Amino acid sequence: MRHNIKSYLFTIIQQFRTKQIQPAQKAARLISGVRLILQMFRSNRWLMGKNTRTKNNSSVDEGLIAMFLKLSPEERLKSNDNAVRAILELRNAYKHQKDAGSGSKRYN
Amino acid sequence: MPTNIKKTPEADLSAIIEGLIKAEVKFILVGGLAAVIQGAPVTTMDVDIVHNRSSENISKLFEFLKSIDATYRRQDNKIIAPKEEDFSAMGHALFTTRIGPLDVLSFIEEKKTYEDLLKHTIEIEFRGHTIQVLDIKVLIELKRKSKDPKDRQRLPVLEETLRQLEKK
Repeated sequence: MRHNIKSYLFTIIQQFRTKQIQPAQKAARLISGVRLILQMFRSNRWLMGKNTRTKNNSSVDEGLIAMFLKLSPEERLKSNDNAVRAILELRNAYKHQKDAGSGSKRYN
Repeated sequence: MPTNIKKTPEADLSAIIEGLIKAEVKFILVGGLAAVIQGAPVTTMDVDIVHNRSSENISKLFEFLKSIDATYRRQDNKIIAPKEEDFSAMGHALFTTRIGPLDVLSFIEEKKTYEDLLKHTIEIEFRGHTIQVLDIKVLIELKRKSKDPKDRQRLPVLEETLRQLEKK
């Protein structure tokens, strides 16, 4: 994405220099350029949670931990129970489909 | 609608903990659920406890296990119910119950028993009762020494959880 933005900005600057575009077009291009830069910042930094790189080079979602810490111990257990139930249900459904299965189609 | 779908096994790990409390079993919550209760966003499929091995406590534990239809978790389909004397030995007993899997451990890493671990626990309020939970700091120390890949994988999340807890 950064590469695309760079080449886009480069093209705009070149067009401005060589006066290939009209003033109205200039304004429109500038606005879309600013939008694109904002989009870059949002997508790369502001919209994503901050992750920590640990010593063994794995990534930890700090935001998720902060969110989980806000819950009470009982809510945390409930959240785990819900996750376990969902996992078991999915496993069961998958097993059922596999057992039922010569007619089923696998998508991957 | 298919009617022959096997019913998803029950899993209510909170109910296991509540049942242990109501049965007045002396235990320390260890493993993944001890991490979850202290704020680590990991998912664990079973309850791990280290129990006090006094005969009175073993009787209470045994009665509770009977009440939730506990049978040994096995690769084959043999149904083997526990016996009271199983819990006085130094070993692990892994059960399937009608409300979820429960691992009853007489010790954890470095042969640490209930008595050894008690001073490394924190008290957590749960449904109006207090339970003993192995402190996340100790959990981390034990996991650091573990050779189990699952433990190694969880370690960064536990460490970050502790970091945020200490920052508070």
